[in-house]
Amino acid sequence: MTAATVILTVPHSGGKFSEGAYKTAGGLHGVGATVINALSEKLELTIWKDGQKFTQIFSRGVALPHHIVPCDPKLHGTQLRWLFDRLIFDDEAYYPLEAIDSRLKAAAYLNGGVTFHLDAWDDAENKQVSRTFYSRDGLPDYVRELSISTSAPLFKQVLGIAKEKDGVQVEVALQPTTGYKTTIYSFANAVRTRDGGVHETGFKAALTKVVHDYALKWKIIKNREEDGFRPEVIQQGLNAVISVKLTNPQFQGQTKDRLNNAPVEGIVRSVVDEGLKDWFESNTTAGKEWLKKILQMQKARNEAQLVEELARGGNKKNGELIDTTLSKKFLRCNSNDPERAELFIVEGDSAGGSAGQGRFSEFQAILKLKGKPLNVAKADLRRIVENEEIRTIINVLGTGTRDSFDISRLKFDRVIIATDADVDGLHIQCLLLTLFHQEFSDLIEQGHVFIACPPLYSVKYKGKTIWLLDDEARLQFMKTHADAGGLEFKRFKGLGEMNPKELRDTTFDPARRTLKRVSMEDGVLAARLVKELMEDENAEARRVFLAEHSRKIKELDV
Amino acid sequence: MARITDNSTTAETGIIREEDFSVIMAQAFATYGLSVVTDRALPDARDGLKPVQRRILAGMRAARYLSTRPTVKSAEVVGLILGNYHPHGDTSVYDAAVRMAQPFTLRYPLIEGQGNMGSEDGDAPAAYRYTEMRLSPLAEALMADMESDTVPQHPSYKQDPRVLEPDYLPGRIPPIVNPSSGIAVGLSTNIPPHNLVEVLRACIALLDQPNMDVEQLMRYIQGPDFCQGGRIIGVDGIKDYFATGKGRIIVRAEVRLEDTPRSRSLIVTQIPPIGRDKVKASIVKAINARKLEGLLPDVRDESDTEKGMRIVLELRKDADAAQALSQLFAETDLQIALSFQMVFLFGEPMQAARQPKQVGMIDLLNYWNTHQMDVLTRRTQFELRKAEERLHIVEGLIVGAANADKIVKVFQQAEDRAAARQVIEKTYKLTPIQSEVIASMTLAQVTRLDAGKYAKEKVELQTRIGELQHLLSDRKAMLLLLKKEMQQLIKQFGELSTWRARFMSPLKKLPACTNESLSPLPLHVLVRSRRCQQIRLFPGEKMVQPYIRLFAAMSNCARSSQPRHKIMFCVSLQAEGSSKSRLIASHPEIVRQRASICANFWGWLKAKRL
Repeated sequence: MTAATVILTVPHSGGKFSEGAYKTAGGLHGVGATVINALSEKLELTIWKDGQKFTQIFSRGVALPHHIVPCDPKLHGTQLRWLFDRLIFDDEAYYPLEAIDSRLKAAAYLNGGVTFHLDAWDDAENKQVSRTFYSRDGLPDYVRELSISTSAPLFKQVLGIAKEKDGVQVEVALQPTTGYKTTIYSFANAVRTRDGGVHETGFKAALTKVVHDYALKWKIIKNREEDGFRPEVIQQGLNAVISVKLTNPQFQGQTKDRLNNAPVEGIVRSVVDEGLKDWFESNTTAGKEWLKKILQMQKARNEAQLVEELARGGNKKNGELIDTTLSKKFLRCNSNDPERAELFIVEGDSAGGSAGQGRFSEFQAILKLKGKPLNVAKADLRRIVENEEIRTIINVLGTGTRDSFDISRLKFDRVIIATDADVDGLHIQCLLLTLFHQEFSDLIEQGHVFIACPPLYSVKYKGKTIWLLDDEARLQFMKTHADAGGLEFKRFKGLGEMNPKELRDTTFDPARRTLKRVSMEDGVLAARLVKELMEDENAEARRVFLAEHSRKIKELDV
Repeated sequence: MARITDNSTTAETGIIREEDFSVIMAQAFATYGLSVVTDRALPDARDGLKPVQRRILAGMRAARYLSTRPTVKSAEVVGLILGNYHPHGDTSVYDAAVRMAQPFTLRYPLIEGQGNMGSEDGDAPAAYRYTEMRLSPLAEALMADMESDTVPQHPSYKQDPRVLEPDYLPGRIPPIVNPSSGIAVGLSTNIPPHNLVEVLRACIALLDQPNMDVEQLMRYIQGPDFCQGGRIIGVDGIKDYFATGKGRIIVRAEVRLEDTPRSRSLIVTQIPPIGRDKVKASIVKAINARKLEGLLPDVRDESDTEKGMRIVLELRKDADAAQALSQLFAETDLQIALSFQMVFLFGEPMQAARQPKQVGMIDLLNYWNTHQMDVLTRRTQFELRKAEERLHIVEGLIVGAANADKIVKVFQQAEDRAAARQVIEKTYKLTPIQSEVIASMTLAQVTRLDAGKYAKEKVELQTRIGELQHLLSDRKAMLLLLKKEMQQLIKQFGELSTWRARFMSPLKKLPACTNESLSPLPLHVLVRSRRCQQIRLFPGEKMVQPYIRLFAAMSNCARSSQPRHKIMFCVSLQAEGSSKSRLIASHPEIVRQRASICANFWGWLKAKRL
């Protein structure tokens, strides 16, 4: 039997493994050709070599006698013609044009310089189609084509690396685009490895390393631990094709989805590493642009993560059933009805104690703030997310923040800011309003935010205690009560100065208290005011602001 | 709006007012911001104090916790201030008081502390139940004349008319002798300390010449005088903040070389005005980052109360000392840049200060001078009033003593006190005050001794009244009095004012450290004036940068010498352990102009390559 016959009839008889045969081949089991032959009703094999023409016909896998005749010595090559066995395959079987088309196209890219012709009957168009597949550069062309169908490339050139190392031919082409879809195709011996394998791993490793090296070198990031890029982010929007050609490919499974040759990883890695470095060195502008885009994407992703964390709020961690830190700061109310419940935000334990005792525990909850809350207009997102007070507030309110804000999940109909009546209390009001404005803006706009008005003064008049809300009230009282001259007015600095009963009657009792509802008349003005007063860079603006207002404000709380 | 009364009703009948976000925000922020500016973070230009400091000092004075009395438990002070004057946290009061007691924080401490008041290394003070404190003599000088109706007082936050606090202090000590820094809203202040004697001298001169320029002022005030010393490089920064209130200077530590058979080390004896622990930490950090190759990796702090500051940095065997020194200055906090802006609160006399302003030195000192004149005027007016009142009484007493017998008869015949008084008022033409005084006279007061005393007192009072009236009418006389009182302060507190910081000559660039900077031999400078007054400076100290010290010393000497005296500058070397000195150079100079002295000697020294 001739070798040719053996190949086509005996399973596991690949001639690929000996020297002098194929240099690299995609098949490894010696099975493919034999199986096709067995499943074809007719297969014609013609070989032109060394001035001789060899023909043999197979019928359903059985070899018929072969013929050898002399021919033109200039002719070289092999021709196979076959027709699938209609007894085995049913009437509907056909060779899909698109599959062959893309396979040939890939083959053209993977074997740059070789021309492939396709002549087929297109059932859809009902006509004969004829196509030629040729790629001079190989992989870079492949990538270029990919970029046409995906988003716009970041820069015109395609990064191409081609090198042989340790008997393995490595070819890589990549091009970063402006989009987010990652397209990485990998091939081993022109066979598409859908599940990747060592060559893809090596490529990704080298990519991550070189990107970081140059990001650090060009000071795009400061250090790797804090500002480093995640591999997914580096590959985002990247179109890449990796092709390796080696003598002994180890595939996983007959479908050849994954390459397993361990040494190939290192080889690909070092080739890609070297190639990328060269490219970065000689294409500084394009390189910087690419790195900047990666940085941008990483930042966006970090922010997205933080925003999500913020939206989730300080949810219970550590698997505790009841969050202990929360229960120290937050006194719940009995009712779960969000339309009735009210949340009072007070300063610290001194006010918190009185408030806790003086409230209507049925429907009034107390949240104690320790110190001054964080100025969210000045702080960066990470600090906000890590701040315990802010997380507590988010958790307690229940709505989520910013884009995840859902007013229907608000646990309280009224959020009442109850700070002390001194200048630091006013500052805390500013800070809380800034927080609400930035993170829970709908809360203000829908009228859920209030400021409590505990009385500033109390005076004993004719045996009874009269509460006066502010200086205006006091002057009014003095006018209407001419005999109030020598009376001592007690002035309250903080909620902690009042007895719980006094606090209840004057500040908590819905029947007797005074509240200020915060309304949002002009959102633009509000945003501008917050930016001017609370953001970091505007010290000069603040100074001017204070100078203007000093004329308006006459009396100050001490 | 209205008051809330006792009528309770059901459900939600309380008042709800609507107020716009922007209005609330603007109002709240403005109120807070203004209060921080005028009532928290910024010092008053008249006494140099922030409100919490003023309350502590005034409160302690009112409670008589004086320097002449034993110290009082700090807890007592804190409680007193909290309860009467300062409605904020106890830590803010105690921390402020401790700061005023630290000689490494305030150039002229205002409180004398007993016990652990914190350390230069950043250690915290002991709790206020352990420490004790009282006012320092300087604080008492600052508050002198407070009871003479010189400053306005108002009821404190308690609104009790009996508990008063001053809007500002008489501030007889200039406001920039102690450092002050604060962050307000939209504004901040950072003021370095200065030498009291220099500032007072400058103020005295400004009284006659308020239009001085910065150059002239710098003849009196060289620049900041830091508690921990250090060398200030370049006078441009000083000129800047003298002129505009804003400037930037560079301060270097004092380092010398110690060369013993066992080791060669750089000894740090003075540091720039930051915490010693920070300086040490920065040296350690630089060593760990391998930026100081010439040093062994060890920072030894051998400071104690006897030796003073002494941080030892050992050099490697073959290390170049000068190079190590320049690396230290470049990489650690042994050399730092400081930015100042002098922002104070200003106000009209008899009103609290409300207006923040950035000022240059001349404007500030002129303002203070004006304030001092105002205080003095008011004090004089007060004393005049008191003297006149007393004179009135004394005159009544004299009448009473002289006519005792007749007056007694009047009283014996009168119905009651009031009637008797009416009679003597008519008879002797007395005022009700005088008649009351007479009515209360004891028998002893009519003796010849007492009567004689009153006559003498009358004469004294009349003289005094005359003087006071003269003072009030003659501005020149008042100025003279002010100058005299300032001179008195100089004398009283002069010894606290030995210079600590030193100056580099006005070089533009930072001088590199060369081997010449490290002089192994001790250098003495003898200054002989015509009266053969030998002033020996720098006894036995090995200097790292000798020229700079000399320059500063010359400035000091020249300033204290009389014009047209002949001065002999001698530079001699004295070996360690020996009492003989070898004269290496001398240079006679006639003091024509103080400034030129230094320049000439400087040039001469450089030419001699010493």
